[in-house]
Formats: sequence, structure tokens, C-alpha cells
Amino acid sequence: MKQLTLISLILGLGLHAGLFAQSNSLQNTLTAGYFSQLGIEPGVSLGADIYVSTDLFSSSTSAQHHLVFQPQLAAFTNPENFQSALVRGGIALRRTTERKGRLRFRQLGVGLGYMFHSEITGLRVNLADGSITSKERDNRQYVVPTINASMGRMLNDRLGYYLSASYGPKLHAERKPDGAVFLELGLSYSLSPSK
Amino acid sequence: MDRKTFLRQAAALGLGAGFFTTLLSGCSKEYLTTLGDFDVNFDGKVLIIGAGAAGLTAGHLLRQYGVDFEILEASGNFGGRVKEISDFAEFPIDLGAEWIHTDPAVLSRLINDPQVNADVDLITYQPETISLWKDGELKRRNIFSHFYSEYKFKRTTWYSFFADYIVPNIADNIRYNSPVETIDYSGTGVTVRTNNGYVYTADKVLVTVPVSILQKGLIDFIPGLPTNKTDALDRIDFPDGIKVFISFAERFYPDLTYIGGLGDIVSGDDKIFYDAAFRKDSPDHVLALFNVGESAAEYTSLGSDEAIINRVMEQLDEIFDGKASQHYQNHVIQNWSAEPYIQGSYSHHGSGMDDIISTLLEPLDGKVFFSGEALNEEGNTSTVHGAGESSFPVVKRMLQEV
Repeated sequence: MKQLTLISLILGLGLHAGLFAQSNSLQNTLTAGYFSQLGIEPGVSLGADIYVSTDLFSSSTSAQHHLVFQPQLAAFTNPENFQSALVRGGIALRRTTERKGRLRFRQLGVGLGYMFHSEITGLRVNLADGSITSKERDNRQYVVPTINASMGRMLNDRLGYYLSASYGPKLHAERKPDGAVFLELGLSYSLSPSK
Repeated sequence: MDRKTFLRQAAALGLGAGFFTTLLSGCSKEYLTTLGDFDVNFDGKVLIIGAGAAGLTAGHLLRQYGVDFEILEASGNFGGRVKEISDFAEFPIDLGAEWIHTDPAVLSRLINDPQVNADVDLITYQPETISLWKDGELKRRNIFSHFYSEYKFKRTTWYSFFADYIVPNIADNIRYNSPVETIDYSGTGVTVRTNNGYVYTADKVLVTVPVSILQKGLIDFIPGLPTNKTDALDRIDFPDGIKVFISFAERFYPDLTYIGGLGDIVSGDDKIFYDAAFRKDSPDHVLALFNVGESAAEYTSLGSDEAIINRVMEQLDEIFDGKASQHYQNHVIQNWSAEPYIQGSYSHHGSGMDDIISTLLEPLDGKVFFSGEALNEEGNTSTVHGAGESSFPVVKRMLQEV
């Protein structure tokens, strides 16, 4: 029940932010990319960058600052040891600049995630042919607050790429917190043309 | 012959595989999985020196191919560095080799019998709580768990694997308490003498003893081993090794505690304390010391089990704030350096490993062959499966050559 509440909270915030953003007609993007724990436990990520507030600090420079809400769904694995899924929502302060006619951004953010982790703790091996006939699993859930740093740029008026790194403790009711490092490299697609 | 040449020739010989099944009665096609198809041209007798993983596997394969053989084992039991204690804890414990350092399908390849009707339960050995003990401080380093994963038997052991699936097929061919003193290959066949006065003759001999026994000249070869082999033996390090298992009333330790820094881990000087009950579904709390390398001499040189356990407990109390003495129940020590027919842990190859192995694998006059933990031409040295698999190409070569 707690897990459902947490996931609902994360997705609800995303929906609320999305509605808010639509009212501002901003260049929200969908993201998809390679997602990994420590860069070595591979997976995929789907998400969105939803502009909640734009041009936060008026300044004479060309840089602009925005608040961006980022709901995300990711899955990653070490095939011999575990499969994990992460539902995460985050809010980030994004600084955008323009160079050679293309937008670039850097951002810092915080997030809150719910992670389902299925650890393979045992195997049953058939001695006739070496096949694995069954796997024993230990399923766990973690709450994962994260801090995040990202950067990216547009490649054309729709498509861009981004790099992202997140760090946070994996919190479990019966375990000491473990640090988690998530690395992402992906593409973003603007729902409306940008510069 | 290098490995590529060997594989090419084996593949070429495989063209005549259809002829093979007509050569030996009782040798059905399903036994061809591990060694591949080839022509068997040998119908003499083989003596295997050593009933460790390599010797047992070789005997098992020879039995499957219907070849006459005997295994001469120096000690009173099979297994070599595979050894078990079954009454120390609620689960059996490997006093020697314990981990499966590769794809578990290797167990099937070692048995080499598609008709075997059995499964074995393993654990994925990926410790979740890992600490480093360095400079008097215990530091959590759970991040290492992302970079390390192997397997272990869950409620069985490496020893019981051989006892259940290999040894029953060859038990009648093992001669225990038969330490070999001389291997005379100067004549047409090979004559082997043991220190209890028995003389065995065979057409071919497979030597699978630990390299420490060859390095120390504990077996006389007549004629002596050629210089290139003795030089190659000298280039293999065979350091001290010890395991200590301690049962405690309560658990106070992480899954794995490395002693020393990353440099020690990389150098192969392994000293770890690990939860021997990890994922065994056991209520028992058993912490084990695994120490291989120069640092193991700290214990193996102490001379008595009492001195060893005292030293280990001192260190555990230092690391875990006295909790070891507080919860201590019982212990068992396996000092591999003190085993007369082992005298150390396992091989550590430096540079030029391929040359060393290919030199040592070259048979003497086509009659004396070598395999074992240190001689896996695929590079899987220092492992049980590597020891067993090292006998595959050697047995194949013995059977191919007249």
C-alpha cells in the first residue's frame, strides 16, 4: 500500500506539473535513453521534461533559468544477479543557453523514486545439460531520494541529447542505506519545435 | 602443439567420428559432448597420479570411453584440495575449493553424461555488505558488490559433487594411501613405484598432482624432467593457504570483509573474512577466513591450530570490537600448507602463463602426460572446474595417440 501511495504521489505530481506546463505552451520533451547503475548494469529509461516555470531570474545575459519536472520510468539489470525497475519524479533547475542557434542546458535537481528490486539468490542447474531450471528470488522495494546533474543540447528543432548522473541512498526498512549511482545517456524529443 | 593447432587437428579428426562408436562397446554417442568427436586409437592402460579434481575427471572420462585405468592417490581420501566437513554446521562446508568461478553449466560438462537425472541448487554469490579493514578502520564498501559475482553450492559442496556424480563410477579404480615415489618411463611402457612398495605398470601415465609436489621433486622421474619443464615449474608461484571456519552465537560481521586495500586484492594476496552461511538458508552463523598468498604464512607458520585460532580471534576482536570472543562457539582449521601431499594453496602464474602451461603440458616421450589446476590451457587456472577441464584435452590426446 505504501508503495502504491508513493508511486501515485510521484505520477500525480507529474500530471499536475504537466497540466501546468501545457497552460504555458512550453517546449516539453519526451526522453528515452540508456540507463544504468554505475554505468555497468544496463537498462533503459523513458521520461519527460516538463517545464513548470520559465525564465525564473530575469537577467541581461543570454542564459535563462527554468524549473523542470521530470517523471521517469527506468529498468536495469545485471542478468545473472538482479532486475530492477525505478519510478522516479524530480524537480530541476535548468539553465539554458543558445549557441550556434541551438539550445543547450545544464541542470541540477532532486528527485524521489520508488525502486523494485528482484535479486536472484539461487539457481537450480540441470546436471545433464547445464540448463538453469529455476531461479530463486528475493524481491525488495526501496525508496530512493536522489540528487541529479544533467546536461544536454538540441541537435535540431526537435531532437536533442542529454547526459545525466544521479546519486542517492537506497532506503529500505530492514537494511542499512546503500548508495546508488545512476548514469544516463539519451535522446530528447520536443513536442513542439524549438529554436 | 599450441592450442589453435590442437583444435584444428581435433576438428579434422572429427570428420571420422562416425567410425568412433564402432570402436568401443559401451561407449555411447552421448559421451561425445565434452570431448567432441574424435577417433580413439589407444587400447592400453593408463595410470593416473592423484585423485583430485583433475585426476577424478580424467578417470571419469576414461571410464566413459571404456579405457583401462587406475588412480593412485597418496592420501586416504579423494578430492585433493576439494574437501568437506559435514558436521561442523547445519550445512556442509567446503574446507578447500568452495566457489564456482564460472558459468554453472560447467558442472554438466564435468559429468559429461546427458543421461544423469539430477539437479543441483546453487547460490549466486554476490555479497551485499562488503567492508575493507585497513589502517585499523573498518570501512563500508558495498559498491564492490556491483563488480563481483560468482556461484557456490547451496546445501552441497564441491566435494559432494565429485562424491555423488564422479567417484561412484570410478571408485573401484582408486588406490588410496599410495604416494608415488618414482615414475620410470625409460622403457617401452611406464613403471610407477609407490612408497609402500607397490609397483604399477601402464602404457601411459597422467600426472595430476599439485605443482608444489613437482617443484619440490617429491616424485622422481626416470629419466629426469627436462630442463624446460623444471624451469617452467619454477616460474609458478604456489603460496601458502589456509581456511578457518568459526561458528558464532550471533552474527556481527558483513557478508565479506577484505583485509587490506585494493592493491592487495589485485595482487592476488587474498585475505578475506566471509559469511560462510551466506544464502545457505541456515540458522547457523559461520564466519570463515580465507587466506592465500604471502600473508597466509602469518598463520601457517604458527605451528599449531591453537596458535592459529588465537591469532585469528585476536584479529576478529580488533576488527569487530571484541564481539568475536563474546559470541565464539567453535572452530575448524584447514591448513593447506601443512597437508603433506598439497603443501600450499593453488598456482599463481606470472607473466608468460601460456608458455609455462604449454611447456608443462607437453608429454614425456608420448607416455607421461600432465594436467591439473595449474595447467588449464584455456587460462582457467587456480579453479576446480579448471582442474577438471584441464584433463579434457589431455585425455583426448592420450586416446587419439596409439
